[in-house]
Amino acid sequence: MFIPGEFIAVLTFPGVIVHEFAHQLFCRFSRVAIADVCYFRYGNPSGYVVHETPRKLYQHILIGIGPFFVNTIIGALITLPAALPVIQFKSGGGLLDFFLIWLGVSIAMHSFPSIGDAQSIWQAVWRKETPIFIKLIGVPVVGLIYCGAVGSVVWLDLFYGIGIAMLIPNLLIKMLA
Amino acid sequence: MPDEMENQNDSQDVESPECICVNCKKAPPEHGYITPLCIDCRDALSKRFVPAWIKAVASVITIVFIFALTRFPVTIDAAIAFERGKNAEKASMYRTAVREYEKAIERFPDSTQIITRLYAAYWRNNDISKATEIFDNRIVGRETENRAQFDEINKIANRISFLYFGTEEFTKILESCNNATPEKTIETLRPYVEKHPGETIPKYCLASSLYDVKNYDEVEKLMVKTIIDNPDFDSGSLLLAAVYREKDEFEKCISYCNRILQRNLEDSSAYASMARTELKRHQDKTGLDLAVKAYQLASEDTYTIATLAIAYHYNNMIKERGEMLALFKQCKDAAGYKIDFWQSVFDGQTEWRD
Repeated sequence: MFIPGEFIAVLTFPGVIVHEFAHQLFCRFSRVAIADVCYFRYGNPSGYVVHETPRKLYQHILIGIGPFFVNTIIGALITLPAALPVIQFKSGGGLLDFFLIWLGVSIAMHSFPSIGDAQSIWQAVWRKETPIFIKLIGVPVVGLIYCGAVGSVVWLDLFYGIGIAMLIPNLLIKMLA
Repeated sequence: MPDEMENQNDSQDVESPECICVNCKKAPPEHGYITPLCIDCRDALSKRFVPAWIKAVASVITIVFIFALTRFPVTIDAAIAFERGKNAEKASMYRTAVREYEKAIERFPDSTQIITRLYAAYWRNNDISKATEIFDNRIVGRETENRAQFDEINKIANRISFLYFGTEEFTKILESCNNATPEKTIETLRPYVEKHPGETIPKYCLASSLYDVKNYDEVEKLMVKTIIDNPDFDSGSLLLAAVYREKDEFEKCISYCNRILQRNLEDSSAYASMARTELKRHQDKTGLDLAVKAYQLASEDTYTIATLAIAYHYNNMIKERGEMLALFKQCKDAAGYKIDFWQSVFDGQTEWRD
């Protein structure tokens, strides 16, 4: 069954908002001018931030990848206290737990930078003035971003969100136990 | 700054070849940037206004986030306890497993997963009364779609019922033996056991009374066959170990204790039984070490408390012996005749070992 991405984005809208808001915050921290922001809409992309080209490469990477970490961490921390009882203990499962899981998975599944972000970082990496070692590091990073962005076609973002909800609690517990 | 977006991609860069601030068209652009913006315009545009509804959504998410963090420590503690319980089960350390699962169930009392594991751990730790209690109070009437879980509970319940519960007829006979002398109890139980040789608990009750009257050969005869048929009947193995200790067949006694420890590395009764055996054969230091180990595992258990008192006695630790004896006397399930016996051993009026 084909489910349009826009429909999934509507169901998981908090993740889109957090992602774009994180882009905006990282632009602010990096003093990068923003031309336009769309926090959420029905369409593709479901949200965007249009900003100028950052002066420094690290700013570029921060703005491009920062939301990945923000969404992942917030999604995981919101999901974990509810996912443990529901998934591991088969206990709880009240409305509140399912609300937390929905919110956490929604936020986590919108962690991946978009293809636009990847293109933006790619251009920065291949600038003439970028040192060669940065290019060496940047290429695999951007490659991974591309994989994540392209992977959304095969629901990689959804699997990632669910993985954050299920795997991180399990890994954390196994490490601490 | 261009007003229109050429591509509506997430986080799109904007470039301009202009040499004057493209936003205010007045000030010179800031040096070092591709987009020609003056300092004030760049400051203003980077601190772009955040709409009220986004602030509201962000506030809600922040509140939920903080709420989730407040639940975090308790949930994590319970999950860690559950995981440690599972690890302890894998390592055959069932007393630890019980302790950890009890922690987990405090936080999630309705979790079938935890209840099942705690029930299994009670059974394997030979806490039959607690296993029965959790079965009656929390398992009966509960539904599960997990077939393996269902089968495990059923299997344990059947074993407990077979090994530790008698028929209605036997229960009535046993009740009639309340406060009776061992001789009278033997006389009452023997006909039932002869009539129902396949039932375990009647044989065990009869064997216990025979042990009390020092008829060790008959206890051995009754229990050896029972243990061969039911190697998981730890109470029977412990009784048999005690018989071999009294018959000075120490290696056989140790062997039965080790069988129990092979299934549960943390069986305090097996350690206590081994401690008494070592003390009996004058290996006082080894006996003390084993008694301390048993006490560390189950400091509330009457048998381990008494064993440690005995170990202190034979290791000339009089002050510690006195403390343990006092503790032993406070135990609700400490039989009066046993207290008197050990008191007379400690006073030098009775000899326990050669």
